[in-house]
Amino acid sequence: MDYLSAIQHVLNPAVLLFILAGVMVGLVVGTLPGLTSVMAVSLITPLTFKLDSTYGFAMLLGVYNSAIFSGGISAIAINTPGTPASIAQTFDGYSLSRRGRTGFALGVNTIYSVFGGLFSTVCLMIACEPLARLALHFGSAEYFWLAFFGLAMMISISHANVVKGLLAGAIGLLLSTVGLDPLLGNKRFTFDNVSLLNGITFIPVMIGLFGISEMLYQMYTHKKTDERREEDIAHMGDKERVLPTAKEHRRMTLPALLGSIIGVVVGVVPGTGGDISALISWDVTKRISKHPEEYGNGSIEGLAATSASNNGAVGGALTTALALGIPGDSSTAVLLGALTMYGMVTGPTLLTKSADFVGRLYIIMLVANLIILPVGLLTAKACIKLLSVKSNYIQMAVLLICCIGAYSMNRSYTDVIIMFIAGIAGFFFRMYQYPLGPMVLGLLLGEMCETNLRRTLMLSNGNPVRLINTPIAIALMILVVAALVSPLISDLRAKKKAK
Amino acid sequence: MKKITGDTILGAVFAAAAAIMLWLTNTTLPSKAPMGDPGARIFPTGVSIAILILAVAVIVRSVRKPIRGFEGVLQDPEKKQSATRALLVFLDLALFLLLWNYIPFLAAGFIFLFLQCMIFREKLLFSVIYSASVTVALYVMFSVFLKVRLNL
Repeated sequence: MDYLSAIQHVLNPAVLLFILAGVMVGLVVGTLPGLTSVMAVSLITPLTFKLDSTYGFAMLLGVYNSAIFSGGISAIAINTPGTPASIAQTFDGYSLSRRGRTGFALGVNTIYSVFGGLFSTVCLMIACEPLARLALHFGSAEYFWLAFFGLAMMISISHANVVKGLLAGAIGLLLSTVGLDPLLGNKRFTFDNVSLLNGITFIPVMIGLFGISEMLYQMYTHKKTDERREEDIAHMGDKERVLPTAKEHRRMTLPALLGSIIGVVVGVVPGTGGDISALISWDVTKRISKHPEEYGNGSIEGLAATSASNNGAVGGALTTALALGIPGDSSTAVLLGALTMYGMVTGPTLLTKSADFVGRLYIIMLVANLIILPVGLLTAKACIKLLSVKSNYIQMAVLLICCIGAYSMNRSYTDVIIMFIAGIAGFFFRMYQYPLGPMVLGLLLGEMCETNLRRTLMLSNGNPVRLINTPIAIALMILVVAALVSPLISDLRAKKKAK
Repeated sequence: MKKITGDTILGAVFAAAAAIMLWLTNTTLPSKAPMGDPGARIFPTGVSIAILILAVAVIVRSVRKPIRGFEGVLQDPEKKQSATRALLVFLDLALFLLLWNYIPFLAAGFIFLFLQCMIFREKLLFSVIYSASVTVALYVMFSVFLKVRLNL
């Protein structure tokens, strides 16, 4: 890979400006509770459609990295995570804030989020190519199982209800069959609507599921939290130290490194993400800490580990997304959707056919994290002021932006209707505890599943044994079964214990 | 007898949708394909059957262990108020999508936001300023800078 040319491309004022704009948008979105990184990436994607792919991804990756980092700002300031990935930062960050050390906690969050982000980007740069090279040896049967593995992992972490996770995933798969049949071109479920010939557009569905439904659900479950926020914000001191001392850095480096490693490893697993990795990191670093009693009461090690871990998961999630075409989380699912929007073929061939572009993505990731450092340190305290804005004002504007965003990608009113229907469906899904992730993944991976299933059956004249005639296919099938069965077993065990 | 909950109804909706898709698959798609390809039917048929089975499992589970969604909303005044607001916002959104087809975006967007401000009982002057400024800002951003024609 030609990194020198990638650096030259990215260190161009226009690209840097787009990264900075993305970082600023992510900073605002991540800070505001209720606006998630998935929502931000989904809403920004249609805006980037008219840009050159490098500019577009400069902005998208800026938003993605920054939103994960800035989710920690509201977690620290008002005990409410800005994005789900920041849940674990409330444990110690908020305690530090209540002791009048808000600025310091925000400084730790910024520095170690960047640490985790840079670490995971280096891992992405090292691991992506060998993984893609391995995947190039995959045949259609392996791809079929790989797509199913991604879906199965997403379902298996639907703790609340595996059956509902499976159902959501199956609905996503069914939706992916709308449009032209991928092998023979038969029209399927298009109802003579020309706009549906290309299938259900992914981005409007994402905007509906993560934008419209989230806003409506927040309005439905509206609680009077604005007053409590103001009280928390009023408590904050203005003049305390932001940067940690060298001694404090020494205490935090090992937990942050562990957190980053866990972040990358967890992020690689499809269906997981920063929220899970940060919780695991907090628990692991607490076990090995010399001061475990401080965890949960304002431990700087706990805060550093969780901050590094959720940003560490970003690089991990991108590794599987770029190398295999299987998204690590919902945000990377949108990024994959954006790649296809730019006409790129996702999967292992991306690294051979668009190697230059992937190289630029790596450098954008590095630069985005480096930009977050000064921007975060300088503006984190100012961002807290955003938390004083009444949530209703934001929700109202976001609803309008969702409509425009869904329309602007293809200038299609059908896309707006798809977004609206997805929004209503997402609202009921949230209400009755159906996980949204499997549905998104089903929609994204459906075509890959179907095409490879049918290709395999064509090659074997309809003999399904061909699906498991290589060691990799067998291994992937075992992983799929394990991913689906293990939550059921643990559920049964928990029930037995309860009895 | 146990009460029917929203959870059960949603399960039944999915089961019915899967049954319709199964019927559509088998009536509208060709059953045969060349070169050993199992055809365009196989995948949607398999997935529809899976949805049907899973939806029945959800219905059975919801009868045994229902999840409270809208249930009890009418008994709790605070929940009732929030639910009414969400419903009104939803209707406002539907109205906006309808109006957007017939009147310019600036007008449709203003009406959409203004009605929402009314739903949230904001002051009249604030509602006008907020609705106008947000609509114009978004119009300028998309129409002028991103060249997206917002008038359908």
